[in-house]
Amino acid sequence: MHNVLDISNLSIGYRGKDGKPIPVAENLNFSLKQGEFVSVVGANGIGKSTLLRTLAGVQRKLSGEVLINGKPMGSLTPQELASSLSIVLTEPLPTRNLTVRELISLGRQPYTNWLGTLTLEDTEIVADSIRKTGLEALEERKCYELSDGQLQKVLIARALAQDTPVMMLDEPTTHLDLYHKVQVLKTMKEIAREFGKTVIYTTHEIDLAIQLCDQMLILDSSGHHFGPPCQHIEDRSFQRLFPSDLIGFDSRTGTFKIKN
Amino acid sequence: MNRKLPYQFPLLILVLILCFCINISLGSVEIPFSATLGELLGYRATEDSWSYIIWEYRLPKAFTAILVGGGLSLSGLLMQTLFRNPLAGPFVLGISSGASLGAALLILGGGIFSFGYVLISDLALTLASSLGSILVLLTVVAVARRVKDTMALLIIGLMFASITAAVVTILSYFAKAEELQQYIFWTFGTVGNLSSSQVIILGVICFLGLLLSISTIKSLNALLLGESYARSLGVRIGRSRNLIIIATGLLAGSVTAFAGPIAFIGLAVPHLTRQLFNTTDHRILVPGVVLYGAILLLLCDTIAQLPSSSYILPINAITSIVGAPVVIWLLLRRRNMIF
Repeated sequence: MHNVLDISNLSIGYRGKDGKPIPVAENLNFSLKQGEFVSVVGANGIGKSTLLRTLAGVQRKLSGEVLINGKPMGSLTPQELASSLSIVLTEPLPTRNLTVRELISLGRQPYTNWLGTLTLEDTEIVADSIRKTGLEALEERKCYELSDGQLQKVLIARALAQDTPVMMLDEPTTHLDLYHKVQVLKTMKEIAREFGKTVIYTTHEIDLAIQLCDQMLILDSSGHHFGPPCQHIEDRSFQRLFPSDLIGFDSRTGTFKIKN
Repeated sequence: MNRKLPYQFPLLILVLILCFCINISLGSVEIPFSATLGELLGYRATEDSWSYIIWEYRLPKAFTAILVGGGLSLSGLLMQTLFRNPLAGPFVLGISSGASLGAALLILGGGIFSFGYVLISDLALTLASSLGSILVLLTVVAVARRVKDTMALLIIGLMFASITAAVVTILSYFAKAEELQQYIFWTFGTVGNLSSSQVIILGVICFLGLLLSISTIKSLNALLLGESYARSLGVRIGRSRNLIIIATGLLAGSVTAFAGPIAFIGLAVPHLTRQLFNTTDHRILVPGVVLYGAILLLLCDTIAQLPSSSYILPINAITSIVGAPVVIWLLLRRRNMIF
């Protein structure tokens, strides 16, 4: 299987007032294959969201290269980029007065005409996305009537309707209870498996990520580590994730334990 | 988002035609409804003065009301979606303030800059307020290029309004009573002072604004999800934002220049329209607010005429009396202004 996303020597962060780069994370190198389910973990402020926003083109990179299907990201037109990458963000929606179907239909924008009219094919893809995420019963409901978990699924369905090889989600399971966290993650994994999409998401639920992900990208103060979860456990990468005064990683169970 | 043409559209068009006819048949001079209708359909009215009133005064006034109502409502819708703020309206970008500043400088500045007291013609007033709103609009576009944050732009618009208010206060302190009165009258707003050629100019500018708005419908729908999502959907944010601002400027600027600052229409009508169609899809809202705004202003103008009396109330007062309760009612009904 070929690489969908190639990241080499990527530096991410912000630019100060004088245009001087203020890096959050530097020298990132990793590649993602088609259909992989990948999580990005790390402490708060280490640059997980910045990485996702940079890869999604919402924010500019500082230096380095991002190849999408072998093409440099900078060379893609906004429309080409929109048909290769879809995102689910943490920021709240400015309006929730859309019905579930209207919101999911907006995912078809990169393919519709100047007025945004849906073709028969678009309508079918939207219906598929609704079915895949189990939202049939909520189709005509307004978004302000939905619970957090339901809304998260609607946003995932919207990204699915955008029908891109890569799907990025920024902390999709925050604010959800354990059951709904797993439900959302399972849906994402099925999307990766069945539709052959590369799904990459940031998370703080490291134990769940270890159980579900094909690959994990760990960001810590010393740099980054990329590989399958079992390799990270062997390399003791999780032990270095947080300061060791309060919690420690238990390699046998794959969970963090509070130190006494 | 595919749906058949909502039933509300033919309804709105019918109501618009009805309001148009009522607006034309009512005024300080009593003309029977049948005579008005006959005149419009090409039969000569029984009295010559009636046809003169209808063709030279009431028709241009009714068309102005339609343009003013539709234009202000559309610019309000564009602002609310662009700023993702239910309280945004054509006034927030400082466009109306710019027009007021132009008018104030011309009318009130006379005494200070010693043009001597001359009665300022309507045409000069239109020019001055157009210049004022265009100047503010250009400044806003220039600022928009530097400031990436849309909320900052909103605050800058409010600051323009404050500066204008301050300058107007200073000017009115030094102005003569007659000048102050003329300025106050301008702020009352009017749809009745336009000649046919002025109506045509206003119509052309509003039509341009409408075309620009239609060209941004797809981006407007994407902007409902916020700028980040819109960008991820392939919308060129900078370009769309400039188009939306220019469209607003054309619509609100020209309307304010010709008819004075008219309150509340731009804020209230988009909310009423969303409620009527129960949607936020701009493919429906753009034509919807134009029709709804036109109807509402025709009604307000009909009330302002105080039919069969020789008084004309300031239309600005009527739109506020109608508009403000509507906003309060919306807030009470929905708890929060969902947009």
